[in-house]
Amino acid sequence: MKRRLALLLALVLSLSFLVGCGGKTPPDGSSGQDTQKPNSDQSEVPAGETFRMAWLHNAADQWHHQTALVCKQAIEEHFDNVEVTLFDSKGDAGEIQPFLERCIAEGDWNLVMYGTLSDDSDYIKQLQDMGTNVIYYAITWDFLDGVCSNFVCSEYELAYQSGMAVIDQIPENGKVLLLGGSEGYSGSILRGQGFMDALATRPDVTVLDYKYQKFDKVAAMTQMEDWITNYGADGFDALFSENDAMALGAIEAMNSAGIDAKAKVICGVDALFEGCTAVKEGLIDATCWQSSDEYAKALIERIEKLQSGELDAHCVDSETFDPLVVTQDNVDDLLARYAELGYTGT
Amino acid sequence: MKSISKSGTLNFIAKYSIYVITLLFMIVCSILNDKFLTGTNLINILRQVTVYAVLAFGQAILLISGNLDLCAGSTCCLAGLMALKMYLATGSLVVAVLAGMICGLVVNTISGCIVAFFRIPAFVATLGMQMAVRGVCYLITNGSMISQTGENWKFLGQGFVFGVIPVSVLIMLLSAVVLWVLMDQTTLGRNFYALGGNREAARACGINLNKNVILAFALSGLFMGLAGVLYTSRANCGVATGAQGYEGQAISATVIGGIGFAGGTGSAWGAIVGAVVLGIISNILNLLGVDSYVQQIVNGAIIVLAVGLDTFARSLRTSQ
Repeated sequence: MKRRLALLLALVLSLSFLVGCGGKTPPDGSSGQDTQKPNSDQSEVPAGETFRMAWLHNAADQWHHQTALVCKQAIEEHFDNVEVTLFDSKGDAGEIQPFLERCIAEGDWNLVMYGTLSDDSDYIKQLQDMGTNVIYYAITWDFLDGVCSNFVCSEYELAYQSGMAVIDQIPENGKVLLLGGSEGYSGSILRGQGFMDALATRPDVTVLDYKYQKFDKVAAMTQMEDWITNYGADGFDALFSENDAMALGAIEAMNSAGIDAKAKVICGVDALFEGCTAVKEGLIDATCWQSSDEYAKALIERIEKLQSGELDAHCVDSETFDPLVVTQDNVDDLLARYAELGYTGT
Repeated sequence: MKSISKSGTLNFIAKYSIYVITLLFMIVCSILNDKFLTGTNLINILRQVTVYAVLAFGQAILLISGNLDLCAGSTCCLAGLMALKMYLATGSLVVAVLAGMICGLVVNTISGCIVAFFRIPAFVATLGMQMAVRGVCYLITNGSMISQTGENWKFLGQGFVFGVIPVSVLIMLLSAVVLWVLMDQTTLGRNFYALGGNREAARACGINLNKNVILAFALSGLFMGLAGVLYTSRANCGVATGAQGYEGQAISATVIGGIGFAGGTGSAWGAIVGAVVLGIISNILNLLGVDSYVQQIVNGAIIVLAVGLDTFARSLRTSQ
């Protein structure tokens, strides 16, 4: 029995090896590699060769994952000769340097896109010298200013604009609860500042509590149950949440406790499908969107310029995208876009 | 006579130390915050710990039999997703619960086979399975949330019987009874204790080690699958990133509840008490408005303190 199982395992491993080495990028586009193209000093790709883009994203974060998938699809549909390979950082800053080292070691990437928390100037310079254009995204750091391109929609603005969209709906001397994302995470810090600055425009409003719940729906639900115990159903007027998922968790807790969530002022950030659905249902009053489509459009333009030779690997040309506040007034447009992308919530 | 009585008291306290500690803890909490000991809050705590507790039941079987499951969070997530998908396809909660439990059973049977037949330590085998199973979760959801769950899906995780008894708490208690019967009233349960207590002695007694390891994993998978159903039902959604790190909470609950890492000791009720202690810590810190950063420190310190006190009480009993 043991021998047969060992044989079976060996067969499976051999088959996996053969399939892995023989095939192209896997269907989900993750972590495939192709080492046929030699290094070049320019990102410009000769006719017939494949332009290769490596993208390190956090698959555990819904917005990051959705954006990577939307952009990959848009780019690969737009070009015949562009291949986008997605790598998963698992939300771990420790995965960033190994990813860059891998790109340098392989030496045949034309474009690298990644999110970072540290000064990777040395790695970036090496990549650029090898003919790889580099873009970091979703955050801006002074220490990378002028080093490589930055595609960003301000995390601060996302929260600030969402907060400002509902600030006047909070009753006089209202009491607000704040749900934070992850302790110490830069995106959370900026979103928190955005909310606090929006709330500062209403000096009569009191922030009752501010708790981090890791952008997690269930954790936020538990937090809201405890808040309801502590402050009572009428003890708060508004909830500001650093993402829609946590706002939805808090709404579940309110519904379960017999509180009419529609009577509370609730705002979130991200405007993913489920957030927009909640806006449509009147459960969330406002959320804010950083458009995956804008990223896709900017990337397509960048690749076109790199392919034509208009830009080279050393090019530093940043893009800042405006956030879009989503309310009852415009949520249908966004839901229509999600329908086009095939999101149904099931 | 006096020394016998003293020794008896010590024995009693040591045997039920975690229950005594929990009781003392609750008294302290009720002094700290007057809302703590209200019926609504206590029911809230029980509802909040159901997923951890049922996961801890699965983990308890494995720890008692000398194994460990680091894949529990991923299994919980996958089982919940499968159950939700099955519910959306059939509209039947019963079919959904069965699908979730079978999913847990299948995942853990694979882990059990890897551990039993290839002599790979459970720590390594389940760590590998953790990544693989999480990958399957991403694959079946394509990374997006299943938010359209239908009308009755949340009944198991959020519903009430007679308007006051949470369904999830009933399921947790029923699961505890099933685990108690399994571990204390059946030969299979005694085999698990023997296996965890002394592997070689168990082999010498004629216990089939491989078969029992696989059975321990398979049965624990049923509990983990059920925990997954409760998780997605409570969340009222399915998401591939769900239940991350829950294996740590389940292990904490079992260890706090007196189920030793070395195997061969502990009970189902211990696991439930361990989960409740975790729930009480989180709840009282929230009620007191303790800062998020400080909460993590206090949380860790209290867990170490509770386990330390329990270990001290046990060592007192042993020295008696």
